[in-house]
Amino acid sequence: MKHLIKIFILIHVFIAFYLHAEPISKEILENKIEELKKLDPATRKEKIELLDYETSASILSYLRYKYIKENPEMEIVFSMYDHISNLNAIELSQKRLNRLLIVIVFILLLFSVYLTYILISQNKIIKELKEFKISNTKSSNKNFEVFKG
Amino acid sequence: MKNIALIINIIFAFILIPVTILALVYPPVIVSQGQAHRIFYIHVPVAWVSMYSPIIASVAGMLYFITKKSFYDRIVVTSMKIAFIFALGVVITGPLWASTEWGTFWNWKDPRLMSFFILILTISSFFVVRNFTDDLQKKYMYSAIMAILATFASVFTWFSIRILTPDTHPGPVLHTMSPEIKRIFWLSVLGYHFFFLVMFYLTYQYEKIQELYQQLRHH
Repeated sequence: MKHLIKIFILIHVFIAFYLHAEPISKEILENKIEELKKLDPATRKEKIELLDYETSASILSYLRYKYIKENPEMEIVFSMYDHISNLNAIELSQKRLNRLLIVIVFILLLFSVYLTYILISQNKIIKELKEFKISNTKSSNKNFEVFKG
Repeated sequence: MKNIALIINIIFAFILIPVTILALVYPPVIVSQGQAHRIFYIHVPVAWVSMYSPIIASVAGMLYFITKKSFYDRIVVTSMKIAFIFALGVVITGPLWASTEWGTFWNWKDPRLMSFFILILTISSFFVVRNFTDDLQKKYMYSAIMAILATFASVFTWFSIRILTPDTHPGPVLHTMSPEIKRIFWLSVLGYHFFFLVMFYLTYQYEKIQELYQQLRHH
């Protein structure tokens, strides 16, 4: 039993070694922020939009810590911003999902209506052609009566 | 043999059902577009078919000019009908996506959108011009000419995104897709092309039977 516990602990130690997170160093973050500060607002916005999730989250967390330290009221600003961006994200994703479902339903309807129209029209014509054939056979089989005066 | 080919086509066209479901869950979300990017697996293959169909129609139209056989006119009408249905699918699904991504349904300055608008106008005018006359020879001739015009519009649409810089419409992404997106995309392309063949077969049969009916009525 003791051996088992030792092995169990050892496995966890090994896993912990492999799973250690590599934080982005403070210097790298500060350099990135300085780079962004130098840009004009339009280019800065473009650059920010190209950042991956980890970098963006690290920069935000760094700035948050820095500004809250300087001014505790900033906590409210950041929390409000988080809340509003969460609400916007949910609303946008719901809107996108709805549009996607409308697109799928529309395509399904478009093709189904077209195929149904083709099949119904075709059956209608076949029916009329059959009737036409029957009436033609009847008229050709009809015995002509000859009246003599 | 004909029936076997049709059955095989129908079976392959049915891959559209699992592909549509897979497209909703399998490929990863594109961060900038969220779930809206999944329209790509419907919109693009449908647009491709709507651009190929006029090419088939124009080849048949040219063959009509050479042989003067009504069989080729039937191919022209069938292809143009399918082109119209698929083009309608494109111009309605595209703006639905654009409304969330661009904040507007249509951009009159975008070359891709405008070239596709010209294409759908040309396809629609095919049916108007076709009904200008009751003279069958003239009807077939006008149709062949309109199919050739629609092909020009189709080729222009295809290249517009490659030659002109799109204003808002996304550019070509074929070489930048992730493996998951690529897999579902090509499966979807395959499904829509088999579906096109099924629709082509059914529409062709309908045109053939309608032609026979018209001939009998006139006699």
